[in-house]
Amino acid sequence: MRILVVSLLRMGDLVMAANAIAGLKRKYPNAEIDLFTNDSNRGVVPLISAISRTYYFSRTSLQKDLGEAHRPIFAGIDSLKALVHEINRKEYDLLINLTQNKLSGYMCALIEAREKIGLVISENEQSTFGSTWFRHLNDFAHVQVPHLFHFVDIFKAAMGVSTQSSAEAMLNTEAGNNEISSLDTDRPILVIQPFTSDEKKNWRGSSWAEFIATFSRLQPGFDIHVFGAPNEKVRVQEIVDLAARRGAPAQATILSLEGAFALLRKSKLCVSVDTGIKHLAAAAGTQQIVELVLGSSDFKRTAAYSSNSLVIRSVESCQPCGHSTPCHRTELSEERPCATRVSPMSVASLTAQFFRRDQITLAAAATEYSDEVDCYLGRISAGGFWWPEKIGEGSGEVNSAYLLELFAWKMILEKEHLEIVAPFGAHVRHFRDSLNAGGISKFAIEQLIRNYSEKSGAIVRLQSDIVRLLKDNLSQGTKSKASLESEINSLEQQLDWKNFLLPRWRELNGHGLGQVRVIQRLLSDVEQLQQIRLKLLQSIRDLPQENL
Amino acid sequence: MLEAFRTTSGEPAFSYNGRLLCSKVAPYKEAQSFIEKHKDQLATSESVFLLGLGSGHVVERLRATYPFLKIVVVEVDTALIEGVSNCFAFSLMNIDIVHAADVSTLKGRHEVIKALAGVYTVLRQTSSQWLNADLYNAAEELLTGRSPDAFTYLLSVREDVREALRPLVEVGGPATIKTLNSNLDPAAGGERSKIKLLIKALRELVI
Repeated sequence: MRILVVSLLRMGDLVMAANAIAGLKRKYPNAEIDLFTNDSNRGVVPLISAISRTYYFSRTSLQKDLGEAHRPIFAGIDSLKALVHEINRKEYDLLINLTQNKLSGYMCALIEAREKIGLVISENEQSTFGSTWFRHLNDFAHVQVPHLFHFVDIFKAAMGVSTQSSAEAMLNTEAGNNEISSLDTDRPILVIQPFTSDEKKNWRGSSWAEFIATFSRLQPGFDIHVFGAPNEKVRVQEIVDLAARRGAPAQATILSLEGAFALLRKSKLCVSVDTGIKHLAAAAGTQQIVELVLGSSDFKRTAAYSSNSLVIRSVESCQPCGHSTPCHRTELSEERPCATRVSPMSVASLTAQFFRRDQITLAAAATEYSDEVDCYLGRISAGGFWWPEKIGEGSGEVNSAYLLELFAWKMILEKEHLEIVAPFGAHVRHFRDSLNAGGISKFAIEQLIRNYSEKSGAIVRLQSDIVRLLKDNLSQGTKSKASLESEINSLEQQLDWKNFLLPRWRELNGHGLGQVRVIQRLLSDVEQLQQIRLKLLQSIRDLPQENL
Repeated sequence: MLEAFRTTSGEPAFSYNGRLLCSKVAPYKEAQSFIEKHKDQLATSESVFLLGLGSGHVVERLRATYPFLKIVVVEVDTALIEGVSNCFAFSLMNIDIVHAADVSTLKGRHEVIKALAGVYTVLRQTSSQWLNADLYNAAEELLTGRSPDAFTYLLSVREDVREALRPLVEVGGPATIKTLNSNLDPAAGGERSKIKLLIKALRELVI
């Protein structure tokens, strides 16, 4: 069997994909699994186990073909055509697109395979997904609603592969080991990854230096490495120099990704902003990982896939902001409110408590710093999905609501609610097993049931109103586009999810009945979801109090 | 007048009307470094158009570095073609030297049309541009297809691309991938749909 996995995003996305690829290899041990990825990911490909061959998408070169006046106008077309031809010579049985963008969708339409899973866009702009999970990802790709599932879980569920630790997904290479051979130490290692390529997600250098100084006082004895890519050498050294002035020694460590992986394997602790290094740390088996979430970081989807991780998120209300847009509150990258709100003391204190694995003190610290940050522990639920368990005061109900959504959506995406004997009982058991001692009270469950019951009726009415509006307009065509959109918007505002239907309506613009069917399906999912939530809640309510 | 001489290391070199066409010290090294600058494009090309024969060292190095690359040289001066070709015995190699006094001559040449139908690179031989800069500029414009007329010409020799597009009434400035994307023919199907998908994919790279 020949399988091609497509991952046309950044290094961190590919490391997350590595986890799912390892699952694929377990499912099809004799399969030849190839990879199609951006050439900027060359540094990480040698680390991924299970890959037989890699095709590279030369994004920069193609952009030059398109943009430089002395290059032939058709050069890009010809280059891409040659690449597609080369890939198609392999005659793949299965293509899996792990990327949710139009570029990958068109490329996957060009690549021939007997079966395709993931986004494929035809020349007539018709999208197919081959999996309810990828369709779900697409439905929510550009919508400002809370995300539930980690990307790794979506990949695994869509591929139908089992969830296991990510440790087997990547290889420790000889080249990587050679790079760190001079870093021999008996002391525990802390690796700090202070920068991402997206300035919005960065914390200021002086804050990192202060963090190092404070953490060294709270938890002495660490060999601290401030890690960076070769182009970050100067900035990394600045942090090390500032920390030294505060009496905290640290090393500037510039390594390739293979070297970084080897170092992370030996590390007790990794503290990182939202960058691929945290995924490498999870894959390398770094004992504990702390992630600082600023700017556009969406930790629910992209946190380190680990059950030994702590997420520290700025409570600034606009976090997470949109990708690729500058901060709307300041032009100065170092003065962004989400970054300045988080103090080095809070991050150092929380990291030290997390390292000591003292849950009670950690929860107390999370409550103490709750005006700066929200804290979450990475968990793998009893149902096999990663989820962020909020810690600190009042977190029990937040966690219960999150798990309720997680299991309800899993049921709808796996179509479990349509089975003759739907597995509500199993999910309720998973729900109960996944909750820690600070779970939900019977009173809160009753409240939730009342809320959902009231909304259920409203959703059914709205569903019927919106679909009638769309169908009437399709047959009579009496409304202008603006007036129709305004009506959809006004009906949509009565639902819980703002800005949910309208973007999909616009995206499907001009596809007539197909457009209406997609909206109808989304609304039907909403309605069925509501029923599933209610059934789950009623089952949970019926559990004895001591089991909650 | 073309004059041949030997460098101090014994390599052949040329001057034209008293002006050097290559380095008088290390012409092969100079040619090799010129090729190196374009190696990414050349590695994936089936043909290369070299605008200006120059001293012939670039052609010779191209042949040695990329033995399967079809080389089409556009040169205006017959004396230069004769002198340099004799020195390097180009006629025995995978090289077409097209003598063109103007751009319209190029348009009809079968060597040119054949190369344009595949993957190609356009390089300007910098050392001899002064011989006829206007012609080389016009030739580059034609072969890259960025001007409205040149774009129309390229479409005429690229059936695969042409049939995926609606007729282009007016390009309105240099042609770009956006031009192609906005002129895709909704009715084109079959093999042409592949070109449409390629254009749509490339369009995503410049959004």
